Amino acid sequence: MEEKVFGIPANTLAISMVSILIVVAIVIFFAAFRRFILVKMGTRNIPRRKGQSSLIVMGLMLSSIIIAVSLGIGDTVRYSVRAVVFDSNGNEDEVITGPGKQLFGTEYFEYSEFENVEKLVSKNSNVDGILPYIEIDLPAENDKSGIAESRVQIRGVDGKYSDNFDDIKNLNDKLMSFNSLNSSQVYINAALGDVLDLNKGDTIGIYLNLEKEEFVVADVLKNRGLAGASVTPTILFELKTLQKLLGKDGMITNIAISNKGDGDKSLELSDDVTKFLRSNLTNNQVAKNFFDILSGNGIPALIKEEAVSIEERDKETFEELSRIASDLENNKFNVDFITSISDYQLQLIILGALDKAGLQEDAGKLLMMSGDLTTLRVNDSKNNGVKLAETVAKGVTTIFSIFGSFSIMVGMLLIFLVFVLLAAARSTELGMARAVGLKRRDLIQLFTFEGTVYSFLAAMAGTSIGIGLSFGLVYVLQDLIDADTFVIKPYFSLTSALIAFSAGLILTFITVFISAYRASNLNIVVAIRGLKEEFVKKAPDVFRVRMINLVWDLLFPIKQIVRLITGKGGRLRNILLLIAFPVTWPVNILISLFKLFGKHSYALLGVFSLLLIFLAFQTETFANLSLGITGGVLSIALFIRFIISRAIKDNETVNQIAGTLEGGMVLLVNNLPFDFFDSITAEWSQPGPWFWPLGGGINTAAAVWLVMSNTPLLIFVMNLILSRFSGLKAVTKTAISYPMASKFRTGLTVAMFSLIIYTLMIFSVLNGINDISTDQPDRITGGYDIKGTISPEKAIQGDIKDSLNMDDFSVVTGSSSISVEVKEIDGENKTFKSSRLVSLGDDFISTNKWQLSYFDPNYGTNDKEIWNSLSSDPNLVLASGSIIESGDPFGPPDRGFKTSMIEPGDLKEIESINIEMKKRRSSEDGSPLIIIGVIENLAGSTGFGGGGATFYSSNNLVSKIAGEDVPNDTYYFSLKNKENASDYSQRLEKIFIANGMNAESLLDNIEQERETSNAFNKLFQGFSGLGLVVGIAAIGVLSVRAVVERRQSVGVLRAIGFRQSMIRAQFLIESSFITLIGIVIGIFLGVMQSYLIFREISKELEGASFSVPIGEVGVLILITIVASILASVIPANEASKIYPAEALRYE
Amino acid sequence: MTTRKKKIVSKSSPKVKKIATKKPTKKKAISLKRKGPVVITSTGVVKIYKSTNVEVTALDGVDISITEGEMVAIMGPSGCGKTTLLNCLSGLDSINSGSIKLQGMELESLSDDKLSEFRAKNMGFVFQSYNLLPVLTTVENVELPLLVSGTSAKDARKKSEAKLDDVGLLEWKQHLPGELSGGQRQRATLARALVNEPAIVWADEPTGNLDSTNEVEIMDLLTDLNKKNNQTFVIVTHSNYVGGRANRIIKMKDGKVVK
Repeated sequence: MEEKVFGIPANTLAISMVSILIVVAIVIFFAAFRRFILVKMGTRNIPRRKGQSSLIVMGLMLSSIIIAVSLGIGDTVRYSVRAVVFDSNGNEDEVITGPGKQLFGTEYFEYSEFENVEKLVSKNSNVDGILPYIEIDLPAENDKSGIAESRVQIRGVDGKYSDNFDDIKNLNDKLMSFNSLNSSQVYINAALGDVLDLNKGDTIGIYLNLEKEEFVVADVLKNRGLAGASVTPTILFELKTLQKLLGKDGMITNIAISNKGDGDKSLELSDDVTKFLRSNLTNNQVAKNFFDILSGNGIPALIKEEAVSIEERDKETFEELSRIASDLENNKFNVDFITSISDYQLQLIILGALDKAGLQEDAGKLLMMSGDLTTLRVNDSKNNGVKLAETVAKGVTTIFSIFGSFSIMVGMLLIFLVFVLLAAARSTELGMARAVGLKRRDLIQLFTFEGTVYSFLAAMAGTSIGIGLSFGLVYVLQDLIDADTFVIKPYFSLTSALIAFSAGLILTFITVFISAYRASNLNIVVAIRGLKEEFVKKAPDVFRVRMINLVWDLLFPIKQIVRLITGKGGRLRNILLLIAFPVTWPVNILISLFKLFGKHSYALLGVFSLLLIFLAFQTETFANLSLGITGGVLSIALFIRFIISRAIKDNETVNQIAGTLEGGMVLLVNNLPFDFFDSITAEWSQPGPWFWPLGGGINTAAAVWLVMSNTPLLIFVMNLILSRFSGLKAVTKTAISYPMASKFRTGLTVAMFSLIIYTLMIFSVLNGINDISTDQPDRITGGYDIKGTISPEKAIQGDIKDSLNMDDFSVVTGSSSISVEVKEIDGENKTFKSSRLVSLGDDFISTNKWQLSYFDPNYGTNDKEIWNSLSSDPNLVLASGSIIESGDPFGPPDRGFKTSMIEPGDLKEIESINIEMKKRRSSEDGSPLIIIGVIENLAGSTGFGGGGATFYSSNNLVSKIAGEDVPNDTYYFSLKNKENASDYSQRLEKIFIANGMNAESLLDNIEQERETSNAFNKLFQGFSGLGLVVGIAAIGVLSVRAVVERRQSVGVLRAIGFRQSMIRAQFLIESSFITLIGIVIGIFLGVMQSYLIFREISKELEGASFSVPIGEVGVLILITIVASILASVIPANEASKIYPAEALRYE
Repeated sequence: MTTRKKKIVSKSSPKVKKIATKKPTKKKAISLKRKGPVVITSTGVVKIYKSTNVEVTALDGVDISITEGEMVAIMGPSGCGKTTLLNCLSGLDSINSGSIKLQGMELESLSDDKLSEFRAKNMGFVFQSYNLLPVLTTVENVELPLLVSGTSAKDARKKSEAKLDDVGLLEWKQHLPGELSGGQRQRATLARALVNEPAIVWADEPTGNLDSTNEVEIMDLLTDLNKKNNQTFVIVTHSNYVGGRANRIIKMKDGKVVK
């Protein structure tokens, strides 16, 4: 499967990025070659001001670091998961198992099936190995030490085939063979050797059929492939021995298939081999009958419709269904069709579509045939594992890059700020350069050359640091995840390095170019005399000229050709603009349009926004609506600015009123509750996670705009507060007035802090909400202390209580479960979907403390009564919270049952839902049942996500649906002395070792999970906090610049009596003040956003309360302010040491 | 009234030398006119600027004394050390040797903080390029010295407005310096220099950036204030007109007082 970054194939992304870089490099080299003097002028400052240059490079490398970290973590996770897959699968590329008709336990099939498959694959040159074996889990123990393991993988391998299939080696690297094992001997792998402390020659006890039997360890094998992965303790038998021991003569559970070649080569063949096997293991005649039925009655169109309806949620299924529909339409009964139709999940979807369309007769026929369609199932296990690696890696990269994108934004703001300040520092010099004949584009080149050097150095350093940092972070991650089951192997691909380097460089370069353009825009007189830009505002062109310009820009490519021919404008520039016409054409039209509208651009923005909103309704996309509305309110605010500017002549007042309106209105519409438009947009496609940083950016920009438009008010308020301390007033007055006068640079710095604090705040607040597990653990554990699971094949005989000292327990209760298929009777989801049915003991029903998030009041007035009504009516069930669509953008698509009758946020009181349930893969009619309530998501799940849809019923529904007795597979224990839970879970494992019980203390699990989740949060917070470093660097840069710019002012202040300490305080207060505004905006936005997120969460999490962690926020504020003060201590000190006479002389 | 003149001739004309071993000779202070007690005295003041391998003697044994209420103009060619002398006398710059006494206080004995405090309470400054803080309004600029010396915000505002009224700028009090003309800015600077009623006002080319009409206006204002408040004015200037309005002219050349 192709590796993807940000949804684009990694290689394509890398190639296009590198191509862009090459083009940019060629242009720069060409320009440099033509005017080398500009390169000299541009870059001479770099070595001269080493300190400043290093500071700039350090600031600029942030985007590269963050991109490299995100990709590096993704790469490492991908590589590590792949390593686990290759480690555990060895040469096994595909595995064939039984037809999946069995309701529980291991499914065996006849050895003769293997012989058929062997004959089949001998015709396929892509297959180079085949191996029949049995694979089950059994308890085992070291007889001598008494150490036991309740679940050990047991494999019985056919020695006749194993030698040709995969090498097994002992710890001395000697090749071993299954043929040399006698009936009392086993091999174990090194993993089991470690767990049970066993060596060659020791005796191992294995619980076969609930009785312990002893075997000699013939040798300890290296972990890998057949011998079992390093995370899977494994015992290996010769097939015949194990068959005899289990009483399964002539039966196997698996057939392993090995493709030709090793590693990725064999993986590439996997799709072909799987297709070959599936089509040949499918009964072609039955498949043809399927094809014939599905071709009629307008079914292809139905399937297509169904495909479209799930496209967003499940791309892969969409593609499969679309292909089936087109094969049916074109009457193409081919291998692809046979392969696809043998997939049971697809069959279910198609049957559901027929049911919905009233074609029950056809559906019934297909259901009858379905059982005969396949005899064996083919699972492309290695390929799936690699796909999983890809999904996990993509998820990790996405999460990290989304959180990182805030820091990237901050990094770009810093680049911009640095160049604004550089341009300001050199404005006189540049003005003189212009006066003596340099053109504007020369100035752009000048800055671009300088910026290129910085960008290049920054991208190099950033990528290397990012790679290192990603390795560091994954080690932290490994500590957080369970280190026993997953080994992290640091890895960074060349493609990722190229993407990180190019993306960092391109991002920096774009910002440099924009800043260079802005800097070049200087007016010569203004620059030399240090005047304000307003003095020299250029009058706009007359309407006719603007109109002509627009017409020309509508024909942009022709315009460029004409300009090339007539030699107007630089030739190089014209050629470049012509080449880049896909970008330059629309941009030029847009610029011309805005120029044409001039003061009335708000109207144009309004038109664009309306178009976007119209488009949103057409395509039913929420992102367009949101952006359209934002643009719309902005255009209204701009219109009001226009009106006010007519009435009020004072620019300051106009800016204050209009800026407040612009920022305020955008803020308002961007912070509406998430469900505000639900009545219209509930069914629309929701924006991806990338919309979050975009929204954050818009929010911050609006808030900063609002605050910076109100500087007079801010100064007034601050002076009012500070005038109480008359000694301080002289200092604070100047400290506040200076940053408020340089609105642009102050605004940029404030925006940086706001963005970062905004993200950190959201983390802090949302992290607090999870604490429900501390306050009310019963909602997760149900009030039980230990949960023990066993395989129903090794069921506990008789009453479990007989084996226990019941004086220690207050409750012991059990449950049984089977896989079922469920569909709604009245709702929209009439397709049978896989689910699980759990039947609970009466004790469980009366003692559990799980809470309901929804229930039908006709069956009881509170949670307890609803639970109790399960006991009185066997047709009533409760469902797990996962039957409600949650729209999680990160995980793989959930193909289990979902209800169409409840949506998150609905009232707790609902009407019961009628469903039909049947056992898995059964062609019988289902049983009608009633869902009377939904258990909240917290219940029963102490892992990430609660698994698929599960239904809970009273004692005997499982056996009724299954049509046979199903033994208990799970037990819940409440201890009289709760503190003993950890010890007791180990004791229970010991007592029920023969049954392979796996017991865990539920409170320990919660604790462990809370620790993990806290650590994850801290990790992400730390990662997002990287941006804080940039903000602090910005404060440093700003202070250094302020000291240089204000030397003379410092001299004056010193002359009129400011002490050194007052000057120092002035600069420190100034940077703290800027930081503080950023922090306040960030906290305000962060709290607002997290409240909105909390509102959504609380719909599914009753009892969750919203609180801002004051302590944590206090620490955050303190750290930020102290850091920004530290960043400005050196410049402030320098300023205070300026000798007044010297400063006054300074020009 | 005694008049003592002593021509001080430079022993070696080039101002650039290796680090000097020569000690300044003590000369008696020169004064053209004395109204009251001496408020400014400099004795053998030497100021040397050092860069990596050269040094410039900007003041080469300057002895002067100025009495209370005097308006003294320091004149001389560019680079003769006028501004340096003003900076050293006012404590804005340090000296290499010699001594400066202001109102009987030895400047060198004061710490930086004490010196700042002394400046805040006893001195006012007027500069050629006005040096108003561009981000503060006119009245805020004027009240700054008062706030530094601990006057309450209310009093400071009241006094500043009164001083702005004196210089005819009251109606411009809420304007930023950028919105004032050159003459207006200089008047604002004057108001700032005088707002804390200092004993000594130092002015470095106060009319250097002004046209002749504004120059006359500013000098009228200065002399009026000088007479009214009996404040001591030390003015560095190139302008003969300004020199002519002073009570006394101290002429300098090559770091020395020549007349």
